[in-house]
Amino acid sequence: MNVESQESWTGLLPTLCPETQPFWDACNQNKFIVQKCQACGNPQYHYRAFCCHCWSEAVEDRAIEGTGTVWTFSVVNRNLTPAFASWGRYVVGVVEVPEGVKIVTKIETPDPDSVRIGTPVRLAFARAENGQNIPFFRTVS
Amino acid sequence: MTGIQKLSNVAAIVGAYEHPTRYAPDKSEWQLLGEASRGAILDAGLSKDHIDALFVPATASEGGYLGTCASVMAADYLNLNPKFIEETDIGGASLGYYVNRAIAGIHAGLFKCALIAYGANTRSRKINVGTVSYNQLSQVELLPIPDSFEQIYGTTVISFMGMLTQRYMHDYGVTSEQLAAVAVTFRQHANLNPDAARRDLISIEDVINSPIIASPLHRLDCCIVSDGAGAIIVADKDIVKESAKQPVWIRGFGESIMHHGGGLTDWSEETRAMVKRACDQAYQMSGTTSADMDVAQIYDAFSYNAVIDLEGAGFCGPGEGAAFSADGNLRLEDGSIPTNTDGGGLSSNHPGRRGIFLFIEAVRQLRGEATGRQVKDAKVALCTATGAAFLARRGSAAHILGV
Ligand SMILES: [Zn+2]
Repeated sequence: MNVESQESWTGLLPTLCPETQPFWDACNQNKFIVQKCQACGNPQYHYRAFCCHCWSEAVEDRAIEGTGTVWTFSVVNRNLTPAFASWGRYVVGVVEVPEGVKIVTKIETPDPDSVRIGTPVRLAFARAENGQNIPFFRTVS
Repeated sequence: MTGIQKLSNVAAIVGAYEHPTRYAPDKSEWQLLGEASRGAILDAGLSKDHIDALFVPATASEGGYLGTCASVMAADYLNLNPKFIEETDIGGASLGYYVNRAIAGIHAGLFKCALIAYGANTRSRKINVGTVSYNQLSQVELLPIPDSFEQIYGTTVISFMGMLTQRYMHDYGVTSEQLAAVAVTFRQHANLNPDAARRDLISIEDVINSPIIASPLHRLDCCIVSDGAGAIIVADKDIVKESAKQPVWIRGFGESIMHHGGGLTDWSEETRAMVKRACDQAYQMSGTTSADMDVAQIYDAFSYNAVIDLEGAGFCGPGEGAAFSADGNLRLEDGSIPTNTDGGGLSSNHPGRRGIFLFIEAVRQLRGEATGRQVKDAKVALCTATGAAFLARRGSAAHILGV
């Protein structure tokens, strides 16, 4: 894994629950879990306690490599929610990872106007004030 | 008749009323609901005592605040004693889902006369429907699943529709100018509708030059926010005989949902496939095809919605909807399928859950009551609506109405 966690996370924080705790705990070790079902072989994201494809409980937690490409995105010029006031213009998107799932995420980039569908991105983490690591993706320069 | 065809022509819309207001700071949402309900039952030439089923949208972050248990509370406010109540929540498509459930209930013999009603003063409440985080809009904390995996990244309603539009434009080489034709055409129709919220004509350049809210969506690619209310009466054959006006029969209906599929769904392709599943059921039930339609009312929360529904309904092929619009096919006077003849949500009326107005405008067109914007000899209408929970969890409804 080649990820960073120096950056500070601003914005909303996830609400945790026992079912998703393993995902967020893994984030704190700079790992992003996409589960793979041992029964049907399908991957799934977001995290669940079972496989949503076949309802087997034999799901394996696997850390992704951290590569991906932008599947779609939107440059947000206006979000009036106070929690995002510090973000300025930012990019939300869906990243497709080679592990086989699409991930809703923030796409950090020095130039929002340069993002395209197909732009390569890499996993990164930012640390929130409460110590929780938040995963996101960053355009590869 | 076998299979779903037995549900064709089971019920008709016998009353329809669209409240003329688009801004009603002096009225409660209850009063708007009540005025629309009274308008519809008067239009039907029936009385409140005929109503034995009630369908109202659940309280919605994007428009309509009747509180918890909205259907029971609405029955209390209207002092109705329905045998059957419903408030299934599929966003703005909910009203179409109510028509489906009303027909199912009428076919099952559970009731005879359903009131489907909606009212909201989203505009006078100054609700920022599209430009805040969804949890702020819905005024609830982030749920552990799925919100905490998505909304922490700053997703807004307009940005998620932007993401869908972006992928669609990429897959098919669609331009912003082609998409802009949707808003331009519907504004031309709104210009003929004295009740429409926005009536000034606009150009492609006006759309392109309006500010981008969340790329690639310009302000004029997005629906307006209005106050508004509307209601319809869906009734069985016995009630039809008692009603005053020409019945508008529900020839066919369909519905379908989509979701993220554990992260595997192609949001863009599945959106069209969902609309197609809903439309195909409606076509099959009614024994019609897209070629039989005289007029269409499509839920246009964004220009993209109109385009994808045109494709899903079979008026053109995948990726062709924007060019189809730009070529003038939706125009009232000379289009191959005049669409959103009232101006749609982009220009006429969008208090949050626009679905009811599709039926009302279709009824006006089929009865020949669409003064100033009447499609000549309109006999068959298609209504399609897609509503959203959040991101790509969505549901479509399709209806074929005829006289
Ligand atoms: Zn499985």
